[in-house]
Amino acid sequence: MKYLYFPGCSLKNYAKRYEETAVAVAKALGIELIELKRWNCCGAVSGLAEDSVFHHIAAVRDLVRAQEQLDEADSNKLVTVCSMCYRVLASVNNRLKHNPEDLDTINEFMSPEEYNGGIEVVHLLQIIKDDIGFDRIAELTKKDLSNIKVAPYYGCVLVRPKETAIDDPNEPTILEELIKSTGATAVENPLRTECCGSYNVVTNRELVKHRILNLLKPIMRENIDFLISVCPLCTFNLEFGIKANKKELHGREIPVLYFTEFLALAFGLDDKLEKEVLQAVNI
Amino acid sequence: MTVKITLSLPKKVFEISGENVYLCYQCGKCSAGCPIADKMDYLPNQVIHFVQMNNEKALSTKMIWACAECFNCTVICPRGLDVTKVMEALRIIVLRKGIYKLDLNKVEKIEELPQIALIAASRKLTG
Repeated sequence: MKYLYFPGCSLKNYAKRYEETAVAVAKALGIELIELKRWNCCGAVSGLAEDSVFHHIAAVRDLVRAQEQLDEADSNKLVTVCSMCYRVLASVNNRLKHNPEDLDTINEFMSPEEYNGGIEVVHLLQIIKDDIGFDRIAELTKKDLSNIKVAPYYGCVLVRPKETAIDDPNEPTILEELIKSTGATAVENPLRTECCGSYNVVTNRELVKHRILNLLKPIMRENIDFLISVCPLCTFNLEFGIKANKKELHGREIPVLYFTEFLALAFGLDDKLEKEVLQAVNI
Repeated sequence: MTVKITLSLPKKVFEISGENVYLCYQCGKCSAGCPIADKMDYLPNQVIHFVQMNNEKALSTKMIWACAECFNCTVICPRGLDVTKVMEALRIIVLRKGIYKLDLNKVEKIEELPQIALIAASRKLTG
């Protein structure tokens, strides 16, 4: 299956390891990701004001780019991998679908470019769950992960607000199902949908440090091998927080893997993983 | 810096967000679920109360600027008030006056930060 793919800034820069493994894992699963020829930053966060569409224009431009390339794909789904890109594009798309007046305002501003509302924004996890199925992950898993204990971490943006949630906002299971399908154990992580502190890391690193310690406390007693994240910003904050809380965590350095890195590991695609990651997980 | 507004605060918030703060009956569930509430000056339900009382103190709380839109409060509010949207409306009232809460020149070790954080912070803390 061919899908249009929006990478976003982080995957081309700070989170290159996320893209590298996402593309490889998708390929192994029979998913061809066609990167949009032209794309721009989605904005990372969207505006919530009802009286303005100002913050949505960047995202709509990306939706127009997808619309232009629609004939190259087998579906109208635009696949995102970064969870913040997912929420921005999906929420803007939703708003324009439900508020034709807002769509008119934006189209008038962007004229002669025009968005027709025909794109569906999805996250790669949804494609794996709905279009491929977790059984395929089990079939492709080459490593014995039965002794591996993994803690899933969703963060907020994939599961909230309800309008764009890819799973239940309070009790999501998609990552647990993915982990279990490889044969590894998904450790119960009660705070898996709590905020990592997000962009507060720019203005208040102490707050993020405190957040990460609180997030890790309930799973510290479990002898977990690593955490699984879906978001470049969560991963940054987790890695920062684990280092910053070294004393509080008694020197434990828990690796944080993107879910695609975990799948690449399970599938035996070790050449797609960074050396540091391979050394840290040591499987 | 104090922010002067002409419309009453509940009206202004409604105009920007479409949210009616009088839905809130102060149960405090938003504050119980807020992941940063323990480090804040005022709790989310207290901020909502300031708005209900037309108290402009709501605009100078730390809470509204540290809220990073995790939507926990919105999801758990038994009255269906989108608390996150109210927080955003309060930020917008200040930002539209040209008062910004982030100066990138003053961010320490900015080179260590990923662009996703810088872009998000710039979009939420400046106009």
